[in-house]
Amino acid sequence: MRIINFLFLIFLCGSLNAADVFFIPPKDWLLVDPKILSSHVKICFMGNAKEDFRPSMNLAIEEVNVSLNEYVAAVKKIYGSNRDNRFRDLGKIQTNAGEARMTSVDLQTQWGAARLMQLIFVKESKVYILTAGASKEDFSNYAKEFDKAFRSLTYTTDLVSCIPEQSRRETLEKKRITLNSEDFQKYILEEFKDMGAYWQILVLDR
Amino acid sequence: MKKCIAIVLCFFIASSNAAFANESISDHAENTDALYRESTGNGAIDGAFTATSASMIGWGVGLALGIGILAALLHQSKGSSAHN
Repeated sequence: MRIINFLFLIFLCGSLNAADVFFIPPKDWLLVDPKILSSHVKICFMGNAKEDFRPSMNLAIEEVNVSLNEYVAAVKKIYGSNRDNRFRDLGKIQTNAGEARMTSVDLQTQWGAARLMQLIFVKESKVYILTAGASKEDFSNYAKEFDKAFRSLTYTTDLVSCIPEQSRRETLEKKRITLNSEDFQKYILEEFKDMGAYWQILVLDR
Repeated sequence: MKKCIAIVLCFFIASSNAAFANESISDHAENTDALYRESTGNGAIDGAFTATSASMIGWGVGLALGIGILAALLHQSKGSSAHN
């Protein structure tokens, strides 16, 4: 019985300290129905543009036991198996979560030439892949938004601590206790637009 | 009788020696490792697939859920899995 209690405590501590990774998507981008996402993809946002190939950003998570270099090499090998793909390792990039690697791949789709940039970040036996995609022709129009979103990638065990202002953090903790779930949801959606939709979703999911 | 059992036992122990195995443990570990590494990278591929396919699928039904709706869906799925 003691062993069971001990194991339960370990599990609980692990759950309490479970890390979240989020990014701030470009402003006013739409949330894609999670039912249509691929298995490793946790969330996807799409631009509201009128192009046939709409720009998007998504975050995928994969459990791994390899280093960042090994993962990038594995991805390069997969893309390289198709001669039409052009893969490039763009090197290191600094994000809120830490140092990551940026890659780019140009590929042919049934809707035309597409460009994807994938930021790859490895931590605690998990790899986080933030993918930005658009048609090759329009990609440069979104470069600034993509770059800002990439650098906003954050790894945290406490979502509230990511709010820059202490007063807002304190108010949130108070509201969490005093408001009912519906009012708390409204509060998060209205007062924390700057933190991005994904952060809001993660907070409301807790 | 005891001698027979001992001889049979020794035979089975000797025959299970790795030296007689078709594949050594290190070979097996290497093959397993290679198989594992071949599946590495699926997250990136899923991300790429979603980026290229969601754009067109999004024109249909299911695009642009509200955040509140998604949060409610997440709560519901957590609740049902907890019930299970």
